[in-house]
Amino acid sequence: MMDKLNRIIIGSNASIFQKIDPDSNVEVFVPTNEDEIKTAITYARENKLPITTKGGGSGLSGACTGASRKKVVISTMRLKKVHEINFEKGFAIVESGITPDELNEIIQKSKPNWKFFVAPSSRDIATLGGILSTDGGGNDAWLAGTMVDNVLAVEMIDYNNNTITIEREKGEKSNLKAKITCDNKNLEKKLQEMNFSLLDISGSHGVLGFILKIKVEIKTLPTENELSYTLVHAENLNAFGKVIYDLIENNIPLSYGESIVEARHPDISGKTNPPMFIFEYPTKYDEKMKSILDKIDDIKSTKVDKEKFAIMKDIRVKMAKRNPPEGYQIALFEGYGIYGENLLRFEEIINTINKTIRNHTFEPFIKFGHAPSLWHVGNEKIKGIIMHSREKRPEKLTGEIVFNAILALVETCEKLDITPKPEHKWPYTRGSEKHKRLVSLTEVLGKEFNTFLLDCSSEELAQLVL
Amino acid sequence: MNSKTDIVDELLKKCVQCGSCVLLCPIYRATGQETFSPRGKLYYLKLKEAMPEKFDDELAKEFAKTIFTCAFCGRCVESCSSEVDLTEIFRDIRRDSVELFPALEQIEENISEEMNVYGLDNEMRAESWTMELYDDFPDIDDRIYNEGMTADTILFVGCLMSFRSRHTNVLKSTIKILEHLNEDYLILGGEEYCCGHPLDLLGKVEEADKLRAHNTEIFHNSKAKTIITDCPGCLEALREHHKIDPSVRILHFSEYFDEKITDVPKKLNIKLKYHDPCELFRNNKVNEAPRSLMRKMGIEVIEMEPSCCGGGGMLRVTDGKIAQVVMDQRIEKEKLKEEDTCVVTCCPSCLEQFEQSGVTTWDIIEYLVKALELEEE
Repeated sequence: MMDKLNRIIIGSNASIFQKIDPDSNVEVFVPTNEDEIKTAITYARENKLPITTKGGGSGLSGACTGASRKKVVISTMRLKKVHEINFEKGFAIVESGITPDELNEIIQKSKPNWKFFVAPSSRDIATLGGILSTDGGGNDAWLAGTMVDNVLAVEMIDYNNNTITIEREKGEKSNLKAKITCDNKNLEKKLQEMNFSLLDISGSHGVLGFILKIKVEIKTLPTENELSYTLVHAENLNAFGKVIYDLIENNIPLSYGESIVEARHPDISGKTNPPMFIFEYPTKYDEKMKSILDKIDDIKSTKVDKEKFAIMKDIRVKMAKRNPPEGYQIALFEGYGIYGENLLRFEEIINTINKTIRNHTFEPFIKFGHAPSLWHVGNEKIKGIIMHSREKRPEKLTGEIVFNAILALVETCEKLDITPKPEHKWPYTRGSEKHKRLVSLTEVLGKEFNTFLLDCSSEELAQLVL
Repeated sequence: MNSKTDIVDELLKKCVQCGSCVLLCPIYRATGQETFSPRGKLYYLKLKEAMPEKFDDELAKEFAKTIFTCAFCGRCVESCSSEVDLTEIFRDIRRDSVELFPALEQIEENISEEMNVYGLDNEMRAESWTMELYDDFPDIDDRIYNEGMTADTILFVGCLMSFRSRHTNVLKSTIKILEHLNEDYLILGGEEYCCGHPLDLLGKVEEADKLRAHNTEIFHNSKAKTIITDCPGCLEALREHHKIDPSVRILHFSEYFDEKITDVPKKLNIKLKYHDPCELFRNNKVNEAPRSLMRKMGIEVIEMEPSCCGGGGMLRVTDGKIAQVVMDQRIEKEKLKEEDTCVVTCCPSCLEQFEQSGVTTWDIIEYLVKALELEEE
């Protein structure tokens, strides 16, 4: 009976796709080592079932749900082994179920000034495997890059229990070039010919195989007494966009860049007065920052101490999960990627997004995001703001209402030339370069992992909205 | 006014399923199964509402068992940015499923019949441990409440400390300190009823309120200005649910003695690992007083992760094995058996949980009596 309960509860996740038919989870495995993973994969293969891998379940894409199709679910939550931490060479080799917080706790027990530098606000639960599968980033992505920029190698297991290692070529900065190693030499050759790379695995949402191990970069923390902390408040949204635009143009090395665009909650808006930014950067850039900010109309910047900065960071991290003063929040659509000249018409963009939201009976609640930040679209690195959004739910809420609102937001984004991070819009990426690439790779690697992602319909997805 | 069901429904809607409560949960850590995590439990309830046809009575029983597999440490509530009080939901579910655990039904019956969790004669509350004080304080019986008696301070002992021999030393130490300070105090003896906290953990609020009405009447009759207790569960019940006149101060031993004692004659000059009892520092917000008191005694506190020992929430009754795994994991993480140190705490339940696992543990009061040089050599 507990098995049945496990098969229900494995569907738990932070996306809007929570209405997962418990009967569709035919078997749930929570392996603790490679042998147990292979046993789970063998079970799936013998029963001709696809596999969905689940990490912390904190992602908003819903890829860890496997939809309501018959499947085997493998959780990585007990795969937390740290195989090696090498401070001399600056890497750690870990199993995919470890979280950034867990890894950093272990690293900092030995060397308190070292860190693994990917810090999504869900770093207390999101697993490294999950973050790579969605190419997550964080408040330091501007300097540290997104997950894929911090990965040196990945060890994956396919449906036939072949182990495939994808390793960034030595001395190679690009994520596009990798050395492939596999027991199955035929598969190895095919993948090498296809230039299979870490960038393919990044944002692949578990479609390509089971990620077992990850080799990540670790680095030293900036020395604290060399850092400055500044809050920037803007009088209007165009001035807000201009701040991001100019900081990108001047390539300021911000080690922390967060923003609150709007907040319809007195607790948050009273303490932060958005639109506003929270910045951390090397003190030697004080003058440069001042000269950039002084030239922007309608903003006010204030240097703050470390304690005040920490308070603002805390408000920002927690706000994603807050509910409106009355009613409840929903995350309709994650990761609005606003960049380039669009930053200079920020107000128009926010107004258009909010109009779309209101047209579908939702009410804008909070908008916030990493800024300036960067993300990958295909092989290109885009610089701008990754803006997150939460809405207030209407009294009457159905999957259809939610899904229609999402589709309208996708259309709005396309019209406005907003490029959402691919990982947050997997259901809507038909025809995109990423989708085509994943389809072609599954021709070689097999179509047994998270198959629904590549062919699900809007109607099927709408059924999953809870 | 909203009904209990409405409140639960509201809490379910508030939860965004972010998962921040999962890895913190001692039960999740002990089992490795999301089924036992706070998020998992809430997801079950959400999905049941959306797909009732997929859920049957047998499944409901299994689920109810997971709800009783919770130490009520409150770490999930503390970490929740969405302000979901998961323990409130769990209490509600527990109320309707107590019959799944005969041992819990027995406790309920014991309290109902004898006003204490053990079902012993309630008049025995102040017998065995006070007898050991006759040599030092021959008039100790005069400190036991009878109708018409009044005092500035009431010492609320609690079921666990009244009846379990391990705590006799803590109580003896407490009396020695109270006498040393010339406090005007009373013990309630047979007039002390269970504080209702165990019933609260079973969702039996109305039954608990009957006990509390009695205690409150006694407190008011005694004209007490202060009520003190060592048990964090009792403290919570006294502060939050007893409807005591707001002018009456309700303090934990550590708070009371930290106020009364500014210095001690004998500095202990030792290092101890302090275990924050979950109910004391999360539910009652008593965090600084024990540390302050220890500083005064010359105890250097070695901080530990503010994690559960497995001794709360009736977990020892409903699943002793998991309670033990929670404790074992705490021992391993804090290296409690590898280093030459012992643990200090200020909760009888936590103290027992540590000691039963082979960790040398003392109540803070047992050190205070030494620092005040009131203990016989």
